[in-house]
Amino acid sequence: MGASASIFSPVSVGKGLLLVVLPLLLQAGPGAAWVRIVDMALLYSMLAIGLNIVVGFAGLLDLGYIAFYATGAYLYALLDSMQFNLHWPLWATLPLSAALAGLFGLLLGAPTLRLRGDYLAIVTLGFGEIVRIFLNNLDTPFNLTNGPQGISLIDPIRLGNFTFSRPHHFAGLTLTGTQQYYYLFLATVIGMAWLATRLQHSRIGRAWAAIREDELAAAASGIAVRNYKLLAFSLGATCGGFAGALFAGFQGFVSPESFNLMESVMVLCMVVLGGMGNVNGVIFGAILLTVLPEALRMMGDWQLNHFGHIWIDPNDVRMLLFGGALILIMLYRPAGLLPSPAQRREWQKKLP
Amino acid sequence: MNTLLDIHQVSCRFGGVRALHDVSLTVNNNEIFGLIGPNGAGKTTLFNVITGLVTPTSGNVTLDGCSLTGLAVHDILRHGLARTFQNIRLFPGLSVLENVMIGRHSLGHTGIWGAISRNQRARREEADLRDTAHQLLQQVGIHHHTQTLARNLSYGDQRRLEIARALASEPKLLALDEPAAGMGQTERDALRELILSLRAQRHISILVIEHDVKWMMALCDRIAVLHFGERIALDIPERVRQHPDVIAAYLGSAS
Amino acid sequence: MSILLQQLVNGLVLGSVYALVALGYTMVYGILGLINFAHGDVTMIGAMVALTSITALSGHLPWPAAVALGLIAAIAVCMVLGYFIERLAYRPLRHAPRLAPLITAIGVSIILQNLAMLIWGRQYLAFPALLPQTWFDIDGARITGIQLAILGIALTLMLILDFLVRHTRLGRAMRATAQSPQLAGLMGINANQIISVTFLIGSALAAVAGLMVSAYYGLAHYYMGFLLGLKAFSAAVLGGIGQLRGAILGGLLLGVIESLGAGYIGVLTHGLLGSNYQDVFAFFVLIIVLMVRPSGLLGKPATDRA
Repeated sequence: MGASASIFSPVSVGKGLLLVVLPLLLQAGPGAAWVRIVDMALLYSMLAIGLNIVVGFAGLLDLGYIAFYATGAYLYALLDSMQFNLHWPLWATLPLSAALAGLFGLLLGAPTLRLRGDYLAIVTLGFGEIVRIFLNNLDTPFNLTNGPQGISLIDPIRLGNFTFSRPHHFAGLTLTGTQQYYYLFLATVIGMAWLATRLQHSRIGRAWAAIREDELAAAASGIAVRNYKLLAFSLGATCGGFAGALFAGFQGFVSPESFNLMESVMVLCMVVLGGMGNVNGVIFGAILLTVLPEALRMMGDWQLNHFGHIWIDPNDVRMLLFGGALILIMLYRPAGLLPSPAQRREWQKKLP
Repeated sequence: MNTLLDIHQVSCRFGGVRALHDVSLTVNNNEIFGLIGPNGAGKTTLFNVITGLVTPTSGNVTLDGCSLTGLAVHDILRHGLARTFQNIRLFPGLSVLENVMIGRHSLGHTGIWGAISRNQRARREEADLRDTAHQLLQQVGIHHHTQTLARNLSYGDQRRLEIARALASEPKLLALDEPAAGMGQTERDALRELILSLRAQRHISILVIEHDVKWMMALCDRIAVLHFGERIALDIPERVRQHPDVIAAYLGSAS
Repeated sequence: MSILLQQLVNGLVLGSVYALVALGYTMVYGILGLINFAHGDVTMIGAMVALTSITALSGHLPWPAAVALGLIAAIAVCMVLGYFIERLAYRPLRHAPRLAPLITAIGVSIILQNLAMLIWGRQYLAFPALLPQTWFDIDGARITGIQLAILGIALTLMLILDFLVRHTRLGRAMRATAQSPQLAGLMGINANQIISVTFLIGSALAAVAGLMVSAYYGLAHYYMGFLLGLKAFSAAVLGGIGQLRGAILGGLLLGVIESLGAGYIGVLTHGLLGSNYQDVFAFFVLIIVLMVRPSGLLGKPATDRA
């Protein structure tokens, strides 16, 4: 196949090498903080890949996606922390977190998905908020979630004897915890992207595309619309739960505030901005939107240096910019900044 | 008998409106069957009953001995009835080839595991699917732009693509909802030739709804006429043309 | 008994506010088939504008004048907002895939929330304590003057709207457009104009509701529109989305359910769950309605098309 040949092309090899040495370069250059930022970008990439299955492939709007991330994160936090003094191995916790999130997806999707798409949007919006309310309040009557304080002292991710948060020596190099997490997350993102792409270009992916394009015509073509929607919705949720578990181990701390509506909107922005339906596009969107706020923060420092005062707080305008971007992209470039090749062809055709 | 589709005493009411009243008709194997009638006669309602969009108030529809009444839209296709839409419903943002491949969804077996592993079975299924889709596009005469997006096809070609997509499921009965609507005379004639050739090559039955009575007379083996929700005639075209009730219905509605 | 009565009164008052907001959702949905996600935030803007103007005016004018002017300011701002939201974010996408206007709606909602945060800050704003604190006791339950005013004004507005839609030219045009925009166009109705009017009316009602909520709770906050909108939407679905009377019924009912639920959840669960779960009820009502009767209480069961 053409794809396997291109993996060994000079450009691909160069890109691959860059990905491998990136954390070393970042550590040596701009500093350790940037390795962490890239780690976060990779976690968001997982979320974007998962949400893209729902929004981009099947055309369903999920506005509470972060709730599945929260599900995975909290399950990991409960099973691997001092909260109940449980320290389950990763091979048990990770699949469980993903499966629980997927199950929540099924439970939420089953009553909603036979209805028109916009109901799903509002139900998921509510669900995201409900999960947060429960996380906030489940410290009574029995302390499950520790309430608004959240759960801290979560075990780092451990594979056998290898603890990711501890520095290790490899061939004369010392890798920090964040650098090691980078490789773990990178491998996960590549794996998820590969799975998502395989699904997209299959009988299942075509069924999703058909539903996205025209639900009635899809049903008339023999597609069991509701089942395929449920599949997309719960697969997306599963990815969210998986990423959530990794996040909990990486961060060592979870609290309800990490999973508010704005986070759901952020992930949606990543998908829409990057290019709905295009796996590479949404990863690009995730990286862009994780790095951009850091750039904005530099703008804040710049203001402080030049005017001695921050006139426009970048944190305040950040969401404003994202909201505006959602509207502008939908109005002027619905295929996103990095559309898939097919979409790009289509887009160019419309130009004079 | 070689009856394929049996519509038995179907009635349909919406609120107080009687859309269909006690309509019965049968479509035989390898037959081209026409359904005509003035505007508001209930053609579309009957079509919707057959294709599962509307559940009849009473009566029954069977295809090859299996009851279709109450089945979900996608199950009806699996029983062997494929349809097209009056106002063309393609998957506009997908390629012509993909449109036809999706039409064959019900004959595929690839699940999640097959999709991810791309095992031999999945690869073979995919290859067969492509071949069949190409053949179908050839048969309806639009094989020269398989990679074009469906929305960029000309109107007539979109109609043809919709027919190819419906045929991809290898139906026993192909139901066409006003296939010639919006076409010029040359295109209509070509479409009629296509429908006749499809019947000859694929040995299927075809049910057609259409306004253009003249066009239908030259196409169908038998024609049923609906008027105010009732079947007022069912016969071969020559006799339908001379049926006094039919003449009255069309003259009456022409005003 | 008096606790039950008290919860009923509180529920009806809260419910009449939900109903006013729900009307905005249901009217837009009836005509465009679109969930206007920004509607809750328009309500929030109404509350903010009303609260700030009343605070500014309260030193200079007697309270009824201050409240009236504050209300007018809120209505004006919300109507302008509603008009431009429709023109800029929804109208260009009327023939786009369904997902597109939903996403722009989310965008508008985020912009409104963050603008409000920039203008009014992150803190809770207090409603000036200038409304007279009167109350009436009925059978052990207490209804305050503010509650009575909210109930009275809300019901009056609903009656006016109901009359408007059922018995005037404008109402007929709205109903015709909701049935079929193309057909309405053939009958000489300018569908775009009707859609604009719908947004104007909905936004004006939202402004009134915004003032009521902030006066009732004594607070306003840039984030208040989210939950309020979610609840009002649930109310609209409960009553049957697209049905005006459904929105009113659903709003009142949801208010009562929420109020009774919050009042009795402690007793029912033997103290396991407290009233901090009040905000959860609307959501469960929404899910149950969607499962059992998606067309709502007053809606006709729709034919399931796919």
